[in-house]
Amino acid sequence: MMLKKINMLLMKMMAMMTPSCDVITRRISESYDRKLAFRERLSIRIHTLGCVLCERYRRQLMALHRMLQKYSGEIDALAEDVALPQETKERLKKKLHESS
Amino acid sequence: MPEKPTPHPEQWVDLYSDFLYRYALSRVNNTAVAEDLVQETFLSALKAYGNFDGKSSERTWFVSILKHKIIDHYRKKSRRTKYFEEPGVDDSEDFEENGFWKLDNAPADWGDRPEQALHQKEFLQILRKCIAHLPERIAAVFTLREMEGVESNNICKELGITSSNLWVMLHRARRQLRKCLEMNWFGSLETEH
Repeated sequence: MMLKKINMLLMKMMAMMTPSCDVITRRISESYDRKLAFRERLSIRIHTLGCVLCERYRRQLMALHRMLQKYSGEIDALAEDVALPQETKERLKKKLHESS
Repeated sequence: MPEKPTPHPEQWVDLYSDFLYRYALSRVNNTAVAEDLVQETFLSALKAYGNFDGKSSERTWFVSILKHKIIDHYRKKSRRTKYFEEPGVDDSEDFEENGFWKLDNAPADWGDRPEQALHQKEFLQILRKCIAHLPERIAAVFTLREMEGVESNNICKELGITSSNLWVMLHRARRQLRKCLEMNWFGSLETEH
């Protein structure tokens, strides 16, 4: 029990020694767009050990990234309600016919 | 010598125009612009049909042409105006002044639901709608980066923006998408339990 409390306190301290949550969340996002420096990666690691909210954020962005990697090709096909109006299609055909 | 393939542009319209239109619309968010892009794609395809090697499907070929048209569209836009210039991050909605989460806006626990969500068509619909709700320029850079997988420095070069500007926009996109998914999917599931 005592150990657990000390452990929790330690985690919290570690989160507090790193930049605050707004900076960490920005850094987590940037990890998908640029190569983070070692100390930046480390700061995310340490911070998310002690901060459950940023750890959720990190996992959720990871889930989002995976979803998009896997399904980006299918998402467009899902918009079944979206179609080009028939008259636009006819106009297109005419235009293409003239140009060919 | 192999015979030169003949294009059938009128068939293209029947076969591919809806798909290309959806593709364009989800990336430019404007019906008139999307229609124009589809038309330009077909016209370019007609001109370049001799170069179509038949290795990929026609549809894939059209999509690759359309992608260039979309980037062109945004490049022109960003040249004319400061379209992609993003003011600094405004985090005040989610964070206290000291930089810690506002508890009301902090991420909820999604548990292992993302794994399950992937198998559900309704979820992908919501994901699509959430992307469509992003401000247009944010959606534009986000789809280029996360859906087309274009490298950050190439996006910056094409659109003439700085990397830090790009990162801020992508950060905003992810933040809003995360929130949108939580509000419309993961959060609403939580109340059912």
